[in-house]
Amino acid sequence: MLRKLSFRSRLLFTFWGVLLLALLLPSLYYRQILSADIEADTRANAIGELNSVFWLASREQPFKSTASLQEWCKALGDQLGIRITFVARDGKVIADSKVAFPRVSAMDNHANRPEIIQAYKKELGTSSRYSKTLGRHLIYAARRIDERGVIPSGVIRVAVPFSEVRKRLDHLSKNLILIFVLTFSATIFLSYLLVRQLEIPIQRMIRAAEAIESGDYRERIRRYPGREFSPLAQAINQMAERIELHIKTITGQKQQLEAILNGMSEGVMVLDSNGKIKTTNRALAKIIPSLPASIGRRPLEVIRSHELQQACDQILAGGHAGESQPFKLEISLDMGLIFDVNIVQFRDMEATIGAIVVFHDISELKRLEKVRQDFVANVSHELRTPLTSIKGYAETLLVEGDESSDSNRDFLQIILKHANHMSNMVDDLLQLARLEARQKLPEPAAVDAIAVLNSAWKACGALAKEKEVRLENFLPEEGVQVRADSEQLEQVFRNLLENAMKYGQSGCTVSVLCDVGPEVATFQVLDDGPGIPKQYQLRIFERFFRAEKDRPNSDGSTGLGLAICRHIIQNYGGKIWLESPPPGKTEGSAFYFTLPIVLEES
Amino acid sequence: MKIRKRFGQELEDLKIEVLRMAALTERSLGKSFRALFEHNSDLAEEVITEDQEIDLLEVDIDKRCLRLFALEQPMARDLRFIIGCMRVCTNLERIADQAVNISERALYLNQRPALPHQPLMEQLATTSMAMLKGALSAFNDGQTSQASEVCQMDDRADELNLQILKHFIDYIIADAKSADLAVNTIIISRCLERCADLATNIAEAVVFIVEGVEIKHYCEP
Repeated sequence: MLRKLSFRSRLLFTFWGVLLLALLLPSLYYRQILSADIEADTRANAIGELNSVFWLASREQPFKSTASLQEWCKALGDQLGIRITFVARDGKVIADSKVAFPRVSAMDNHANRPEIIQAYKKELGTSSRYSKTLGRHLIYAARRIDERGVIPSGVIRVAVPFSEVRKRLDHLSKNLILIFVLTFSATIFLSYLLVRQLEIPIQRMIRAAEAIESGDYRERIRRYPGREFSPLAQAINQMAERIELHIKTITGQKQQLEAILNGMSEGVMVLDSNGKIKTTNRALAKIIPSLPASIGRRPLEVIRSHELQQACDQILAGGHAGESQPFKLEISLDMGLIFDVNIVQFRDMEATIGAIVVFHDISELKRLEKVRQDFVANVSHELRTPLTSIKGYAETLLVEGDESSDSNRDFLQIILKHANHMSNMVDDLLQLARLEARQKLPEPAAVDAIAVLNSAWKACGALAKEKEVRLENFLPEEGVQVRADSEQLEQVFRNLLENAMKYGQSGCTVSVLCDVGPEVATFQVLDDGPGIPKQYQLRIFERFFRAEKDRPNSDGSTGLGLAICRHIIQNYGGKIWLESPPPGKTEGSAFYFTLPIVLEES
Repeated sequence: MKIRKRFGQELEDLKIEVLRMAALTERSLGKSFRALFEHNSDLAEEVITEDQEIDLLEVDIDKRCLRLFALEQPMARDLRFIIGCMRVCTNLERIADQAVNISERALYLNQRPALPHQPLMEQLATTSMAMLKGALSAFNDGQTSQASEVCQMDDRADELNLQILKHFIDYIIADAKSADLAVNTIIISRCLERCADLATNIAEAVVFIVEGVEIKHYCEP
């Protein structure tokens, strides 16, 4: 119970308890001793009186009657201020100084009074008692007396009033109580002051600790109530110091992070594990005008994009494999804004998942790309008409201009050849533009790769004959069913085969292999030509890129073949790459591409 | 307490689902406009295929609402919110259907020689799109002021529709051979006007959710 009280009350109560004990015990003891002393003194006094009465009685002439004894007793009792009683052996009162003679015989039998019993036993008996006869507290002393005259043998007893002594004792007690009360109140007051004095520095210490708790880390405890408190105060001070340091570090880091975040040109949004926006940066305000109100809301409530919300949900549900890999998507918003959005999953210290969403504005990039695509498509289209005219007139002149000289014919041949080349180039460019413009394709039908490869081989038959190239077809005989448009796939095969033949030596072999996986088929076109230097391997799929810059453009190649291949394969969700030299060989190159196969159940 | 908390979460999820549907519908309508004005048949095809997703979402939201009614016995604002969500999603589904209608007409028109530039049609499309956007952001933010604005814009849409009708009646009288183009355009204009009406309905549902006042058919709270 004491534990529930405050420190101050506990101290006070203990103090008071100790004080009470310290004051009460001695005074009680003192009073006891005093009263015992006084009683003993009175008793001795009474015995003295008794002895003198006894002596007087033995010196007196023997009494003639009990009445004269009574008179003597009364006279002596009045003189001495005491009560004298003669009690016979049988306990009958014979004379009493304080009782009128006629009533003496009517008094109680005194045989069983303790002092009288004692007197018979030991000659002298004392006791202190309240006398009913006199209505006072008295001390009795009794002594045996022998038979003398009319007086039978019995006991002579004196009674000394106790009240005088008691009065003194009571007075003393009153004084004692008064002193007790005064001392007690004075010490209570003093102890209260003392405890308060103790409490004030503790309070100050508590206030300092509270200030630290509420964030005032510069506060220190400088004065403490006692040496015992110094380790506590030091511990608190050190704690505050350390917290101050930590806070400074954390604040510094936070400010740095915020500066980085706000300095970024990309919009950043941090989601908590419930998918609600926790933090945003300044750049995001350009995307979302109502940004300040967006904290605590879901992305969909702020940016009306179904895909973004779906991606965030997926990431937060842990559905995206590879935590470190960002999830990429593209969203387009109102007013032609297009964003490249990266979503990264992260775990904080409590291992809850959150997500960081980064918005990269690619509207301008997209616009420029569109402009470029449109430009290429338009230019190609516009070039076509004049080219057709040039080709037409050159052909007509070649056929009909029989008067012209041989050199003129040669010139016309050159014009026609280049016009044809240019026309091929324009066709390829247009096709490329079409492939680029078409982002999504409807689900393509299934085609058999073998049939497509055969027709592609037939299409480049002229070149094959000229260079005496053989085709080795390693495709599985039961056929490979892939999802692609047969015309486009044929073009891919044709471009790859033509490349292999053009760059290979005469009489070489071109092999086509296929490796069917669970979802995709990987095709391989292998040649034993000179191969492609490492530094060009990544760039070879760019349009108009040539590995050999100084190579004369005499073979009628447009420089767009591989770019077209890449676009076609990418449009079907495949990949195209090359290895040169192919694994396990020292020369030649291998072109690989993948296509989704037709699954059994579909 | 836990149950209440879960209920709050359910309501939040419901709102997200409705917003998801709203995003899809808004995009669908935008695409149908582009299919029409930019003569892009690919986009029109996309709108027609995407409509199924919106239909499925509507069914899903309906189920959600029914479950909430049955299990949670919502009261006051929660009850209004769920009823409001049901109304919003019914209207969104109809708007998506109108987007499909517009796309189908656009597919037909794109095969024919283009009509001259139609500023009135574009204005009507812009107005109904603005109304849809306004109604949806009113729903998102719980703003009745924006909702009332949408209600007031409806008059403008009606007026534009009427002007287009008159214009194309004159056009048919002048050039009977291209009557099919004119009729199709009138149908599209009617679809656009319907979109505006449905957007108004959404705005009214928002007022119902926020203030508990029914302002159907008279547009004044």
